[in-house]
Amino acid sequence: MNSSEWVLEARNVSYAYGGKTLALQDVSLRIAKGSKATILGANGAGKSTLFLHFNGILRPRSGEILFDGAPISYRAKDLGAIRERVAVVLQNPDDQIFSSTVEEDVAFGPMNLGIPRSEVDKRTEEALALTGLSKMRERSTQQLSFGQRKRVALAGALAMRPQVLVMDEPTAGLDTHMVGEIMELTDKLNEQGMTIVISTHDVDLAYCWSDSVHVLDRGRAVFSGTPEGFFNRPRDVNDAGLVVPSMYEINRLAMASLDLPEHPHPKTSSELLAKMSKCRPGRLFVDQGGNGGSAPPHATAGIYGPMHRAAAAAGELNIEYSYNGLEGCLGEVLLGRDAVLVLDPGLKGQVERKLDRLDKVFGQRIEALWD
Amino acid sequence: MFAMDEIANSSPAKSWPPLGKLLLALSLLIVSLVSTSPAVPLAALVIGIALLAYSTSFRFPKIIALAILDGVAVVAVGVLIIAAVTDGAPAYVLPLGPWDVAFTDRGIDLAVLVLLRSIAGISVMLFFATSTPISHMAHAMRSVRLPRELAELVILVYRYSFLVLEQSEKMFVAARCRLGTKGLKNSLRTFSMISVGMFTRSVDAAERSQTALHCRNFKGEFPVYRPPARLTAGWALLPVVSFAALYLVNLLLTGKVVI
Repeated sequence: MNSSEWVLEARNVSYAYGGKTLALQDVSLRIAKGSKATILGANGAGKSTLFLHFNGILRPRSGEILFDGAPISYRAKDLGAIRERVAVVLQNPDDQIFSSTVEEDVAFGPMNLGIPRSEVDKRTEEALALTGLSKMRERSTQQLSFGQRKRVALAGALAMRPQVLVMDEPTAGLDTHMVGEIMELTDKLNEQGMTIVISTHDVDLAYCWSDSVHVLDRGRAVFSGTPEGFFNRPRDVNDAGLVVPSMYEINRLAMASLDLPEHPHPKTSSELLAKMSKCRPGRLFVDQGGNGGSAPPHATAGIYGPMHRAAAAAGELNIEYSYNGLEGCLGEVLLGRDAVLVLDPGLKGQVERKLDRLDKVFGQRIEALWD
Repeated sequence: MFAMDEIANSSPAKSWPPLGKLLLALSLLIVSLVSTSPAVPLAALVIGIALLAYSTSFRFPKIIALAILDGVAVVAVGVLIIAAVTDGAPAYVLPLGPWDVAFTDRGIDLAVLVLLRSIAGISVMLFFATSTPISHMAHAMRSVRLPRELAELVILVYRYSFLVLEQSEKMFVAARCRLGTKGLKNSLRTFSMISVGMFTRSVDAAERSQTALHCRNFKGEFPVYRPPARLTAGWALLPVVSFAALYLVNLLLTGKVVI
């Protein structure tokens, strides 16, 4: 198999359901290895259909799908290998939960791979821990809430240890806290080298989370590139049945009212604040041990990661920002105050990249003290 | 349905071999059916209640109590009829207005036997149901070389029956919000519409599930993550010994061999 910088590629893919309804027309797009990509589009744009091509469930009527630079082979044995590497999580968790208990469903995929039992156990444990389901492993799947079922579906995919995780509307139907947890998890997985591809209608999420967006409109690919590159074209956004993200619009209007340039485009509240703030920033203490470290007692505390959130819920940590901790802490710092970010292992790179972006793009250098 | 599923998954008897439990339940059921002395079904009932209590961790859930009461209520009507219509000398006469209902001595004996057999049967089968998750049943079916497809069908039907039930409950609530159950005519129409709707949704759900199974590399079998114990010689002998012991008791008490 050839190695390529593109982990998934669609080349002139067309597909019709029942040979009649054209769901995809000549779609071409590429997803970089290790990136976070979003497929955007209105209902019926063809997002789910495209996803099912990525793991060989659907075969294009014309065109081809490439994985890691090589066209997908549709022989049964090769399809099994592809589905191990490209895990697809469907929108409705009830469509993909088959077992009576949580751990049994999570172990379903690895057991189908025919790997040794010790490896199945290890992968199941890891997937349960990643998704915060370890304590619910023996619960009946019938009695779970919708959000919990989504986590089970996700854990079932992660237990396969895929290279690419494809999630169809991962945040649909979830409350804001659960959305935050899911997206934190994707950050963690991406930090470990996994390519994450999601589809969503949530343009705000797509804008702040994605490295690249690929827009489908009535079965056609109309854009591939950076989020700013797409949302810079309001007419195209409108034609695709979408709206401009709030942060993009706030920046545009605020800069227009202040007679300042729109560029650079902030993706989050901290970036907008970085662009506009004239304060001298405070200090950001990053605590990876969860014990407060060297942070002063007056520092505002936030959490980034499920492990320390669980500790906070148990009353072990005194936290102001249980969710959206990174943004919350950066906001405090940019207002001239000190903040301590309690950070899970595996998310350090995300924080470093964020600080780097604030410095290089928005000119705000934040003093970060790592414990 | 949900409660029974939860009970089975948390039962202390969950890890016992499912075939062993089934054989034990069947042997107790059969011996109480073939015996003519009420002592045998009474013994089977006591054993059944004890196993059921253990299986439910001595916490008798409402659903179990309801299941037993349901069964007893139905049987009670039957045994009253048996007591009244069986030939024999009248032992008790119940005046009911213009009629007198006479319960004969043979009828009462037979009614007691039928009642004890029924409740014993209910208790042993409930023990089996409350200690054996459906995945273990499917595993046991595969182990006795029943067609694999049958075992997978059992799992899928079980799994999707919950989803169908959930979905139909939601549809009924939605129908009630729109006066769908106002009056008999509306109710009947709503019920038929929901039935049709459930059928078409089931077909959709089946297609989506097939896609999901392919995504997870389904190989035609639902593996059991924590399989139950295998049927051992001890477990194979236990039903035989139980049957023989209780049958011997029947023989000693009645002097009759029943074939």
